[in-house]
Amino acid sequence: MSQGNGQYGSTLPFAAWGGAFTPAELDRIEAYGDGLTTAKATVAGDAPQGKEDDASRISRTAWIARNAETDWFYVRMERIARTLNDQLWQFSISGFSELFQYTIYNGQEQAYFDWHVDQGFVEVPRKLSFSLQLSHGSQYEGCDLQFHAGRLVETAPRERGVVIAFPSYVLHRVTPITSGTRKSVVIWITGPKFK
Amino acid sequence: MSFFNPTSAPVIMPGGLVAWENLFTAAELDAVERYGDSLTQERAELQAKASGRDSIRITRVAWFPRNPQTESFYARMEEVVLRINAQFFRYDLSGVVTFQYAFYDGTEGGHFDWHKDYGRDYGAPDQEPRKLSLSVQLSDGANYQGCNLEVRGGNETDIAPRSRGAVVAFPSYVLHRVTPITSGVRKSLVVWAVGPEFK
Repeated sequence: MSQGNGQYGSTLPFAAWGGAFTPAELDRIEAYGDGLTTAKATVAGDAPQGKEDDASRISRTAWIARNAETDWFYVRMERIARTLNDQLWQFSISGFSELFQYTIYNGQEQAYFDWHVDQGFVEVPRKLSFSLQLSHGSQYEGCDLQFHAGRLVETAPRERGVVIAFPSYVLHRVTPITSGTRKSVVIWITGPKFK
Repeated sequence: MSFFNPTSAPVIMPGGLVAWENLFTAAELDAVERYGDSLTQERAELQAKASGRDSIRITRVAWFPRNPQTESFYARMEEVVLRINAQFFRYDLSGVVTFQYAFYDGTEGGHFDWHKDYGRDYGAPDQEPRKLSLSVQLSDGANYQGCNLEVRGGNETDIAPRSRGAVVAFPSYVLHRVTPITSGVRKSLVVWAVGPEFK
């Protein structure tokens, strides 16, 4: 496990964990995600009725339901999430109250997602956010997941299979993709509001 | 028991910044400013670790101690913190720590780049982390140019009101900065409330 280059000790802007999945497991997740209908991503709460807003986000997403075929993936991610939380943040967390989100950024659409936070002041109690990189970093150009937690913008690793974790209040973005395709799974852990 | 009866109310801005104007009389602000000016000012200049010569912060600061002369202002600010926290944040807080008098000077290019306040101070490991950050605007916004306090708590950036006496509050994990001052002087008082780590 490697950690983000944070300056706050217990409040690292992000952490990265490689090697949590075998290539065969990643292939399985990718095949399952590709089999889902990918609707154009919405902003404004990611709700089905959310308005499309190309000014801040262009990507395609689909929800990965928890079922017999995907249960192993949910179990694995929960273990990863709890381990990272125990080591780094010690937040009070409840579990996955939202489905995993399969996300595709396509070079032909110049997809991106501008600076945002996953949790505002008084909204859904998302505590930690995770991104599982399914594509090799060499398969696309641009499309970096970046964090703005201090003066400098930091870039997440691009290796296939790496899990990137961060507190949901950290400002982050995905830069425009200029060629190729980047696939990832986005996951949120919820819990009681900060006290 | 409250001895403080403000005639104004705090508001929440689009990005989540809480702002409360017209809390103090001019005489109260004058007294704070006079006391702050009498303190020794040290130049606060944090050098960016990674990127060479340009500094992330040029500010003159002085600690504003709690003593008989400042006690009534401390007590007032504690009430302000409690009221804002009760209405907007509802965090577990233990108290306020020593205030910081901050002085941005147009002739020095005063500024403070994007940063957060949350976390334990390595220099004071036995002190609880800062959870709520507040700023009291002591200068009138017409007396200087630039030097906006910008706070990015949600998906919009809020600019703190420049009216003299305005108080703003935000969670200490929120990214914020003070843009460069191009003329004049801006004085402010920075207040932090601490408590157990966010869980």
